[in-house]
Amino acid sequence: MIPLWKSVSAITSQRLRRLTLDGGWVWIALPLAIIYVLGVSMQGLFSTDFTPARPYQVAVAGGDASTSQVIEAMIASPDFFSVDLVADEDDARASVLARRSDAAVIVPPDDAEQPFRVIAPPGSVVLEIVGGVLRKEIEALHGAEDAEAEKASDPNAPPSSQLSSFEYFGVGIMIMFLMFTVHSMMVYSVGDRSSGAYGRIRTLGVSRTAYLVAGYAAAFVVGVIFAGVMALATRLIFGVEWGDPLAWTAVTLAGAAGVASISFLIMATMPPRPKAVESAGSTLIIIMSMMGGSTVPLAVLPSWFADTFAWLPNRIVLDGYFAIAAGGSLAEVAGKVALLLVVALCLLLAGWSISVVRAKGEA
Amino acid sequence: MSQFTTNAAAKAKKHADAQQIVVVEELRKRYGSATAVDGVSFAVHQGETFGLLGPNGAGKSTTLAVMSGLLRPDGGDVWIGGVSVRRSVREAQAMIGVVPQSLALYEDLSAKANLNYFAKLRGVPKAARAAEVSRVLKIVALEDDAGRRVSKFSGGMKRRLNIAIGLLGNPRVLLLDEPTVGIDPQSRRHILDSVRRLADEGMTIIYTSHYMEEVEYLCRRVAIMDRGKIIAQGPVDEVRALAGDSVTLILPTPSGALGNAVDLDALKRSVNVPMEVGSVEMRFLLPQGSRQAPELINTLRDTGVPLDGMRLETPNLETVFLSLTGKALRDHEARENGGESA
Repeated sequence: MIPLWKSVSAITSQRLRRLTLDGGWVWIALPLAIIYVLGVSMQGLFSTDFTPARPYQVAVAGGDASTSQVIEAMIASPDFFSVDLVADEDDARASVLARRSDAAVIVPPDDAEQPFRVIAPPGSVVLEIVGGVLRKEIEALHGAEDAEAEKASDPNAPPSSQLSSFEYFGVGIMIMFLMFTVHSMMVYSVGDRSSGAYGRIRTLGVSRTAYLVAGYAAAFVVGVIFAGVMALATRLIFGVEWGDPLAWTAVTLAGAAGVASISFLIMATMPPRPKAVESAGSTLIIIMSMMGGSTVPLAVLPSWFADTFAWLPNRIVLDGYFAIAAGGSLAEVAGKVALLLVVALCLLLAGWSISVVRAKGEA
Repeated sequence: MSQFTTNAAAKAKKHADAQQIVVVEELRKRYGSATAVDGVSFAVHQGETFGLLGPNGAGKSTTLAVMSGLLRPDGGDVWIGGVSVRRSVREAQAMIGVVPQSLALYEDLSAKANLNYFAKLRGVPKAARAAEVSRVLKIVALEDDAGRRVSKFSGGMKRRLNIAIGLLGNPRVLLLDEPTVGIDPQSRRHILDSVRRLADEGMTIIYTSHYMEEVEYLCRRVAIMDRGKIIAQGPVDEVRALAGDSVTLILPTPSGALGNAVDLDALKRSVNVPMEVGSVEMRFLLPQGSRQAPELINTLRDTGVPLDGMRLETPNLETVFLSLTGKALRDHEARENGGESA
């Protein structure tokens, strides 16, 4: 019997080798290609020079002086907006539903306390742009103090809003593929079980604990290596700025641990069939990437949506990287790192407990 | 249970008899409400090739899984070289090599990379690893294919590599779980010869199979399992004698002809001997000197069964199994092929 660390080291290095031989370069080439495509196609959305192909048709309904202020603000940007004044909220809504207008703005009466409302397809660019104009109007109406408060409470404003499309997707897609790569390593563990290799390894004197630790370690190590290679590649190819190396390392280590724990939990709960675990993981990763801002920019997501899913581990990693890219130090991301580590530990313990129950009867 | 189902293991003193390198005592293993192994006991001597014979689902693989320290027994124990698997599983595992029924290989790696990996986990020192890998490759005659990816191997080559991995570290006891499943006759012969050479060199081997001819070829002693229990064990000749003076009447039939032609129920009523119907032949266990053979053939002809001749077979382990259980060793295969046993 060999010591635990030797078993872990042997299994980890063997999986790294298999990943490399098993078309491992795809895990680097594919995300880089996606970053390029998204970076180029979404450049306008992230640019300060962005103008739409045609002005957005906006129906405005409502109150008194505020209404004219909103209309004036929009008319001041003829490249962006073409304004239709409609009688009431129902007309405005009908105009959007019938697609006569891209968006509608419901202006409350001057004495009312409710905020401006924008009606537009969720997640659309027009919603974000009209919302931006309205925020400026709120600043004008309520003074600089409120505007600051508004800005500070908007989690999307800093620091992702200051990034180029390449910088944004360089980070977002890297995190998405970090999850895929880590998960593919965990699928190797399931493959071992279905092929009988797990049983063979156990009969060689490797304990179940050593095997599980090795599976987790392999996934974690691959995650860290992948993040390092991707950071370097995106820096060289797309000029992505990753910020303070120390802070980056802390976020990467905590992020890889969190992602490995997610995969570990999936592996522990699913039937021991590689296809099943792979499919479940891929589906979850795609959904998490969309909700966590990797594939759909946070600025485009409705703010309630972005806020609701800010707890996702991949979103915490994303926010951490953005904070570092914007000049944040280790101290500034320490909270996120600690949170990620706690999440990683909780998920790992949950997965471990399930695997212990499922291994009942094993020696 | 036959007179040869001795309680040798239970009677044997595990530590007293240095000849007995493997002792299995009253082994029990359940999966939920199903009993897979039910009080199995046997002992294997140093340098002996011991056969564990039985149909699919008899409990052979579960017995080996417990012996190799993979599953925890619900009752009983196994001693390897005097070491209890229940109490010191790692110590016991250091003495055994396991060849699982499944091809526990990494197809995306070469044969050599597979062997190096398992040798490392086995604890073969780095300095000795290359020589050890070469040694086992030679035993299974795969030296020339060591660098090739396993995915390019034939089924027989994969089976041989599967065995080579079990030989790493030169274990005292080799557990082979149906190592010839699903391969061509040439590869099968190669594997059987390799196992025989290992036995000749003094390795203790426990060989499970549902092919009685393999067990008869390799083993001096055998245990026959059915439904988790050992129904007979002892030297092959003695176990074979359990079939008494019986002979097996084999009536070959054209392939597929039996499917609709035979009214099995009617046949069972008219024939009062153990019988088994396969897809290409029918087997009847008859007492030596019985005059039932002509009568049987006439009955079959009357029912319109096309026959391709007949032959008589002297008792073998398959006959023993048929006589003890009333079913064929390979009844699983028979069912898959459309046959039935009665």
